[in-house]
Parts: sequence; C-alpha cells; structure tokens
Amino acid sequence: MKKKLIAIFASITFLVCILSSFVLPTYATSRTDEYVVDEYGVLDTENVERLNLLAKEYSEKYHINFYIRILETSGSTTIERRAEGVYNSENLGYGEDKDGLMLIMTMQDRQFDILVHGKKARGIFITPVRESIADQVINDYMRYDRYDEGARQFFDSSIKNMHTVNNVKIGIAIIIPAIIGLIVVIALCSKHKTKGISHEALSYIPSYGFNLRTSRDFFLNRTISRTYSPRSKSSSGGGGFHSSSGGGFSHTSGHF
Amino acid sequence: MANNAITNFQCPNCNGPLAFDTASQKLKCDNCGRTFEPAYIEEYYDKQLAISVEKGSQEYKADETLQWSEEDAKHLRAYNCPSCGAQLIADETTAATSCPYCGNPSIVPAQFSGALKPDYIIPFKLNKDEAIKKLSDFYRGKPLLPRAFKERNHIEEIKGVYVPFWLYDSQADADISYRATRSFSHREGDYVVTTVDYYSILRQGSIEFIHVPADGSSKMRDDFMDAIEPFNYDEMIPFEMGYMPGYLADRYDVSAQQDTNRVNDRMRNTTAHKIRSTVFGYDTVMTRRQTINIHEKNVHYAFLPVWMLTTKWQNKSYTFAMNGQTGKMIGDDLPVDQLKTILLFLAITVIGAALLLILLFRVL
Repeated sequence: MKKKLIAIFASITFLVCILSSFVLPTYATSRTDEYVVDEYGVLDTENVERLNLLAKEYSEKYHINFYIRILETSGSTTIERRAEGVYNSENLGYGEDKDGLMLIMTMQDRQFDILVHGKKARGIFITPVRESIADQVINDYMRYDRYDEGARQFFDSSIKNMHTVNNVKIGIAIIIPAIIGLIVVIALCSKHKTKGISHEALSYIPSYGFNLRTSRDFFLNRTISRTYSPRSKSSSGGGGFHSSSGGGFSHTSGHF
Repeated sequence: MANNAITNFQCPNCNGPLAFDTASQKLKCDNCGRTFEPAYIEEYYDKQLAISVEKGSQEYKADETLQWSEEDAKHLRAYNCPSCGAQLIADETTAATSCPYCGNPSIVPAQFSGALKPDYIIPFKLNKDEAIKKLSDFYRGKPLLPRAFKERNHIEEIKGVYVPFWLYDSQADADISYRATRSFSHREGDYVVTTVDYYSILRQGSIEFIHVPADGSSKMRDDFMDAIEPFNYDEMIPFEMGYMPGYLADRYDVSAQQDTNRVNDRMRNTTAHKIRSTVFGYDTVMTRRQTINIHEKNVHYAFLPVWMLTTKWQNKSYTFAMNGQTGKMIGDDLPVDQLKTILLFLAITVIGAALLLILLFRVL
C-alpha cells in the first residue's frame, strides 16, 4: 500500500513537471523591430525610446508584440484596412502566428484602431478587453491630446489586462477540475449509502384499488394586473467604440 | 426457566438432517439426498410428537443446576437438542435455530402454535451461495471502500432468517380540497399584463391497500425491512413448518397494534400523493383541507425471507440485509477510505488542471 502511494505521488509530480514546461514561458531570441513609430511627431523622442525598450522587454517575456503607429492619415481606406495594411507590410507580430497588439492613430481625421492578430493574442485581447483598453487610453488621454501619457497607458493597460486574463485562465484551470473531482468523489461516496425508511405504499395498491368518486374543478375568479416595464433601449458599443473581426484580425476602433 | 420441545427435522429414510432447498422448494436430506414435500414432513413429525408426548418423554427437562436472574429467566428459554442432547439457550421469541454442537436445524413448534402460528410464508428463493455472490457484487464498483473491510467481512457467516411481518389490508377514504391558479402574461407597449385565474378543486375517493408490510420484530431495524421491499406475494403460500429447517426465525414481539401507526402513515402519505396526481394543468396547487381515514380490514401474520450479515470493522458494526426472494440488497452506510478519497480528488484536480492549462494557453 505504501509503495503504491509513493508510486502514485511520483507519477503525479512527474506529470505536473512535464506539463508545466508547456505553460511557463521560455527564453527566445529577441527581435529588433520598431515597436513605436510616430510619423506625425506628437510623441516625445525620449518617450519613444523608452517605450521601444519596454515593448522589446514585453515581447521577450510574453511572446506578444505591442505596437503604436501614429500616422497623418488613413488615406482613402478605412482605419481598419489601413491598420491591417501596416501590420502586413511591415511584417509585424511575434512568432509564426505573428501575435501582436497594435494601436494605430491617424491624426488628421482623429481616428484610432486597436488591432490584434494571432491565436494567442486574440485569445487574450478579446472584445471587452480591447474596449477596456480603448476606454482607458483614448477617453482618458488621447482625447485630451495627452499622447505621451496615452502611449504609456496603452502598454500598461495591455499588460494589466493580459495578467488578468491569464489569472482567470489559471483560476478556471484549477477550479473546474476541482469541482469535477468533488462531484466524482461525492458520487462515489453516495454509492455507499443504500437504505431509508419507506414513507409510501404505492406498490401495495392493486390495479382495481383506486376509486375516484368525486372530481370537480370550480372556476372562482380572475385577476388582471398591469405592471410598468419599459423595453430596454439597444445600446451601441460601450464608449462609442466599434468592434469587428475577420481575416485573422480583430479590431476596436473609433474617434478621439 | 421455561422448557419447550424442539424438533430437528430428520430424514425419514436415513435420519440425516433435513434442510430447505431453494432450488427444488422442498426439504432435502444432507446425507442421502432424498427430497420431501414440507407438508409431508410436517405431518410425519406431528405424528412423532404425538407419540413422544404420549410416552411421557422425560428428556425435555430444565437443567435445575443452572441459576438465572429473574430478569434473564423472563426472556430466555432452554431446550435440549433431540439429535445430540446438548442444551440450547435461546431468546423467548426464537422459533427456529440450529444446534451449535451438531449443526442440526432445530424448530420450536410451540412458537407456531395457536395464535402464534403465521398465516403465510414466502419460502427462500435464493440459497446461501447466491446470497454470498450478491453481497460480493454489492461491494463491487465502490473504489473508495477500504480493502481491509472487503477482506475481513466474514461473508460466509451470512444467515438466512425468516422475519415475522404483519401484512395489513386496509382502505383509505380521502376527501381533499385544493386551491389552484393558472396564469399567463403578455405585453402591451411598456406594460406587462398578467392574468391569474383561481380555481377551487375537490377530490373524493378511496384506495385499497393489500398486504402493506411492517416487521413484527423489535430486533429488526425498520429502515432495513422497509428498504428490502417489495416482496412478490404471488409466491406467498399458507404457512408450513416444513419450510423452516436450515434457517433462523423469531416469532413476533411487536404486535399488529403497535405497528399500526407506522403503516397507517405510509397509507396516508400514499393516498395524499395519489389524489394529488389527479390535479394537473395548473401553475400552482395548494392543499386547503385534507381528511384521510384508514379503515383496517384485515391483518395477516407472515414469515418473509431475509439474508442477514452483521460484521464489525474498526469497532463499528455493519449490518447487511438481502431480500431472500428478490435479492434486493441493503446495508449500513459503508465506510469510506479517507486516503483513497483525497488521492482521487487530487489526481482528478491535478490532471484536469494540467490538461486545461495546455488547452487555455497553447490552443486558445
């Protein structure tokens, strides 16, 4: 019995060690991309250098690249198409899947788009998360022309939301199996119980044994009540943002 | 100390011990293998008993050297085994037992005489081997059961017991009224209009109950005897002592009157439930008035077959009972191996968490 227990513990420990290597990040070679590019000149140069170093650090740590592109105009196309064009032409993104999150702003028409590409990045930066980032970055800073702070906030919000999503994933990964384990154990333990005092005698009524002599249903009265309950108005995307996805990209865009 | 005659049913052919064989439903000799109808053996032994009484047999005497307290003397009986002469001490209600010295099945005819004679009996359908197999199957599929419990269960000590039961035939008359509602709602602009119709419902009727059982032995746990129901009364026959050999039995010590309340409660609950099932098509139903009268028609006294095993593990007693006709199994809550439970929970959690982590971080 003792040997069996030791063997079971050893197996579980070995399994956890092997599988955790899939989850924990490993070191990879860094890329020397330009993460923050300001063609319009609204960002401080020192800030751009600082943000580039920060983006490089995040790229190595999280295997997702974060970009900021500030352009003059989106041209004759939509902001979303412009963003996709930039992403593809500059070959942005980390790894084979080109995981990345990009904030692109066009200053002449004051439009922005938060674009996400890659399976891993899209799994983290889902619509509510992108809208939350947009709310913190655009509504609190960019709308008021506080571009340096806004750029910094973009990085901070992205990382903070990524940690939250990862924590939620870890929580789900622990809680769901624990609940399943509890259900299984309770189900197996319930098989150990069998008896109970009988409170009924249905088995002892012969086929002819039930005689219903009187069966009357009388209608008494009716009540009618009216309750005020206005229909809820349909709302557009929170904070005036518009979210969409397609072609491997997901977007949250709007005006600032 | 009362001293009563006991009878070993012995083979008229070779005097070997007779025991009831479930396969043939007859008495079978352990020595020569001949089988006899129970009615034939009973008649045969009635004649033998009459002869021995006539002879003024002196062998069934109390041992005068034994000293018992007054309390003990009230509840114990002493018998002499006709096969080996050994003295047997048994409870005042013991009706059938076996001699611990020679193993012969022994019947106490006095426990079946006059008003004590059962009206019916359901003979054992499952033999000891089948009972042991069913109990072994009962342990299967329970991975959290301690291995030591299974191994030290003394499963071979399972005993066949005829348990005294009262079978009640009654009629329940019910007069019940309910208040019910039916409601529906729809929307008119910004308003939700709810319409509720109220009804008064009356139901009157009667239900016949045939042979509702309640065990007549204070030694048998009521919850156990309830739990191994139902018995198939199609196989119930008029009582004959010939079905007893090889099994233990006690006569009743809980009267039909004492069991009445328990049985009447069952019938009342069933009547209320059955009448309520005739009220349907409403959103809510509430009972306003309920009158259920139970009219007892008849009570029968019957011996019903039960396989019993009591075992001890870690200073706690565990009892198992099996319907000797249908094989339905019941027992005390089985122990749970705490260590196995914790390990199983941890194993599911760790493996599940590992798989989900891979799925959530690599795939999604």
